[in-house]
Amino acid sequence: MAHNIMMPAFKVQRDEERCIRCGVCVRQCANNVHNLDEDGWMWVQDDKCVACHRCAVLCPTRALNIIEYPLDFRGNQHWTPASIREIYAQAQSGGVLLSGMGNPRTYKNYFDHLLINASQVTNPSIDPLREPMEMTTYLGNKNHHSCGEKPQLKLDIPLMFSAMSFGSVSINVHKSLAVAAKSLGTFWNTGEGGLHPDLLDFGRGAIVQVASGRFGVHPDYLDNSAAVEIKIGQGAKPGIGGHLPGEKVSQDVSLARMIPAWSDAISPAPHHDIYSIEDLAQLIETLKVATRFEKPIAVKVAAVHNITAIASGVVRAGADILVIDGFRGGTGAAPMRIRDNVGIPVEMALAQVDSRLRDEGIRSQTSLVISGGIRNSADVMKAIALGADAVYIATAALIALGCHMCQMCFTGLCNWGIATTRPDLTKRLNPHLGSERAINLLAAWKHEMMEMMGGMGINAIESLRGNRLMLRGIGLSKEELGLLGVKGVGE
Amino acid sequence: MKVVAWTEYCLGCGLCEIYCAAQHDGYNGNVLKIFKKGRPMHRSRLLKAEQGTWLNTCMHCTHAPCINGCISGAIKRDPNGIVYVDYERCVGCYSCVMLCPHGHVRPWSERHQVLKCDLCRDTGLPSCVANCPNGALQLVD
Amino acid sequence: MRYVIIGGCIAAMGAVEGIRSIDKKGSITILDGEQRGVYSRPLISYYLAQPDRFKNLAYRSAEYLDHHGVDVMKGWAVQIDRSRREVVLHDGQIISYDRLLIATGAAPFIPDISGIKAPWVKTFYTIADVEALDSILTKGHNALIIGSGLIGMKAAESLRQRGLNVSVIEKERHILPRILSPESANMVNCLLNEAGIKTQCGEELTAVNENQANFASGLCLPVDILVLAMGTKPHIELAMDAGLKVNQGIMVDEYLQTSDENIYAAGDVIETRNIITGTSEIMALLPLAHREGYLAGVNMAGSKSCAYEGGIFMNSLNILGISICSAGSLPRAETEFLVWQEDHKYLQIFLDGDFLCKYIAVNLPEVTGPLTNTIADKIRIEKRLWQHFMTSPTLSAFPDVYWQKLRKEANYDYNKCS
Ligand SMILES: Cc1cc2nc3c(=O)[nH]c(=O)nc-3n(C[C@H](O)[C@H](O)[C@H](O)COP(=O)(O)OP(=O)(O)OC[C@H]3O[C@@H](n4cnc5c(N)ncnc54)[C@H](O)[C@@H]3O)c2cc1C
Ligand code: SF4
Repeated sequence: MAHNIMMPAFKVQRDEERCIRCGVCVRQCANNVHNLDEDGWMWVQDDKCVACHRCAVLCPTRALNIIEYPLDFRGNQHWTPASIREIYAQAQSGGVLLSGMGNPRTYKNYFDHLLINASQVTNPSIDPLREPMEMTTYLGNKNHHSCGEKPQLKLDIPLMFSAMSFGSVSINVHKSLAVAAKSLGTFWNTGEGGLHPDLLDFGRGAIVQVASGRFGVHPDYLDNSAAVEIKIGQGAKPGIGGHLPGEKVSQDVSLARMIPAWSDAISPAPHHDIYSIEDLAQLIETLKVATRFEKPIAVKVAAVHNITAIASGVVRAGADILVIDGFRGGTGAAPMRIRDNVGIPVEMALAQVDSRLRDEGIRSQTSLVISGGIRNSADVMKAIALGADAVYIATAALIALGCHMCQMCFTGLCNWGIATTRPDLTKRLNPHLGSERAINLLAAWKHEMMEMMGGMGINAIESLRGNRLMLRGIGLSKEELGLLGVKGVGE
Repeated sequence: MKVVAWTEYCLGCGLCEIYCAAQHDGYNGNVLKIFKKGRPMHRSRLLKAEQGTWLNTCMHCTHAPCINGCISGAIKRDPNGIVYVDYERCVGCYSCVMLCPHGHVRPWSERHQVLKCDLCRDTGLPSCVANCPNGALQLVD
Repeated sequence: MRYVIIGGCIAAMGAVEGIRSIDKKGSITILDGEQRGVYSRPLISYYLAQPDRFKNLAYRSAEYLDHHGVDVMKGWAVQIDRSRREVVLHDGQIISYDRLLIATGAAPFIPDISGIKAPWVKTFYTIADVEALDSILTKGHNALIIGSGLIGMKAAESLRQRGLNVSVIEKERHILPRILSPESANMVNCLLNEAGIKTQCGEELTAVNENQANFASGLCLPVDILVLAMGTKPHIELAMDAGLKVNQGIMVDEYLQTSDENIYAAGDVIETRNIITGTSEIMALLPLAHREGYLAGVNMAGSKSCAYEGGIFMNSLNILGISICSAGSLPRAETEFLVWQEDHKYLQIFLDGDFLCKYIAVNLPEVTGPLTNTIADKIRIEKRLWQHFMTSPTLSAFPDVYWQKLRKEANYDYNKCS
């Protein structure tokens, strides 16, 4: 097509008084935004800029700044600039709009409408620096009445790294998270892309996924794991499958996934052997047998309208761990319309599922893990108080590794070495630094959580689980408060 | 002590060279000033070989050929084992350039002297190590 | 233990460092015949060119000598009494030793031709030589340098810098005959002429008369100052008189020991094994002098434990901004070579199968370190890799096998973070 009528999304500002023509920006931009010619002229192609900030961060003289392109449309509350630009893009390409990372819209964020309690006089608060604070928790079926002890995952902190497949993210992300998980006494998740041979030693610290594409699934993969997770759906794109573009299927990825190199890796929308709860029960049983009943089996579903009934079915099908991924969950690539319009907030799903499973008397048969947009330790505390046993983080972990949320994961040109498989970009994430940063982040959260628990007068994370009295809603309707099972502020 | 460069994590961004230059010749790390006002001369060099980029720097060898071969006694070792050039004495014969197996010592044509890594001995942690964005450089014993 | 070193220059300093690496207590006495302290010979040309800037010729500082506990004694050794382990000085003083190092270096060769004693005929080897030259030179005068070796060239440069009209006369077919090939000499010659140094080859000095020099071809040149740079001969008289094994230079074993077990020798005064050709020859080079001195020192102080593998020829000289680096030797006259040239830069490498045996680099010093080391360490690098390198000789293009080997030796796997 001839002329593209779309103006750039971002503007790169170069302070000429500061630019020393060192060329770091030129060498670092995988999108070729910056060009330096022999005469010392810089030529900037704003169109290509995705605002990943790589150049600005590395610029040794801070000569670069990136702003939203200042060209305004005539104001219109309905036809926002974004909606106009999306039409331009589709009119140009004729394709589905793709995006990476989680739902960026301004839907109500229930975490931001919940407040945490603290002790005053009537019960003492605890000083975590002086007194023991138990952060360990166990995931798995705790209903030992039926047939003896069930396999459990022991977590030193109620946080795990969520599924991000090798292929959608680089091997160095896996290395960073695997090392961090081991050092923190928790688990990481392979995602649906199999396990890279370099990481065999970290298999025992991994929750390995079995997804609809069954990529990389073989007996040793299942054996060399901490737990197996059946992925039914993902919060960022419930109901649809996955598509790893061929460009990202490098030799390494092809080996780990057991598919031909450079071919598209398509995960079907459903598992073709699961069309009912009974089918799911069969797969769970199969995996339990395959792993000699030594490992918990998790099932991950997206938070959708009927989540309570679905959750009940999944638990009855034998899931030892139920993972609910909310609509803010990240992704390597999703159709933008789905990402932005499908699913429900995980806070609401969690509260409802926890209540439903209790009501049905099956809560002890499963552990609840939630994921999708957890940003900080307060979110974690609120999730646990709403009923979660533990929390998965993904986006927050990537941000710790350097992700700047440009949401261009699907292009494979991640300048931070995260969502890419190109070797020259992958090496930009040194897993020695990456793991250190991931460990730091979680260690910091753990400290904060202990502080908050101490304030509440609680000295064990398990005593907080489902303890909704520790929460109060603010700015929520009666109905919402009811659904969340929390009282309003002042009550 | 020496700086070791891991090609595996070298991005080839070139910040090591830039900060190296800025740390020397009295610019105290002021990148802007040396590039705008001075003549940036980095000591260590980023090589771009087929197999990838890597920083070519001084190994501060135990039996340093440059010290032994320097015709003027300009290359010296300080009490910390750092091999450096005494610019009062260097006459620019380039014997050391010819002798360095790492190809690290290089001519400073403008001044008829030579350039080599001194591990930023006046300022602490070598500037290249401190400023490598990816931990690809490390100071080891 | 009493260590005595005859001669106080490079090899002597190497020895001090070698001895002190093992024996921190023994006394070390240096007999400094020249009475100028520990200085570096190659600096004399810089001194002559810019006396104010380069007046300090010390190779190692006084504090350094002090720190190493070295006693520098002025005195010319005239005799070694091996049975009594004593050295006799010109003034009759007697110095006794437990271990002796002969590091007497060399002296310039002076041909026996008529007029050679004229006051304006000088050599270029010591501080005294330079002072003598300095006292008679006048800007605009004609200076003739006989011999276009390294010393002749450095003399030419400094005299040119002092504003004299300088011509270098060479007996062989081209300048720097021991260092350059005919092709590279041609290029250097042009550059020298551009820089104001005239050259003439194939001329042999036969006589010196009042203000003129005569050559075998009949050529006769007017001259105000004539500098003899026709090669050197080692100071072997002491060793010879003492009955030590001597050839062109003093003969030493691989531990730098002479035929007397208490006497070692190092530097320009000994014959060194050329590791390319395998022959034993005089290799008057500063880096080798230092290394030999060092190893001799270690062996003198401890058990004979450090063997000397020999050396290669290597030279780096800068003449009026023209850099010439060369190392290695040709195992035979017809050795295969590759050439790269661009503007004023030139590189010629000589290959003996998969081994580099010599290179000549003009105005291209950056790549010479690895080249020198490839020769000295006999690193095998396939010819096709050399051919590739020679398409653009930069460090980045240097064959990776070389770097890999270096990394292995430095004990770092650069490719994998530990
Ligand atoms: C102008 C010039 C430039 C040079 N440039 C270079 C160069 O760029 N690179 C290079 O590799 N080499 C160069 N050389 C050669 C280098 O100087 C010698 O290889 C080096 O000096 C050898 O060191 P040495 O200790 O063996 O001998 P020397 O430096 O010759 O020292 C021997 C000392 O012993 C003294 N001595 C001799 N006999 C007695 C005695 N009987 N009693 C007491 N003392 C005695 C001498 O007076 C002298 O001081 C150059 C030489 C000259 C003259
Ligand atoms: S160039 Fe300078 S430092 Fe190097 S050997 Fe010559 S004098 Fe010594």
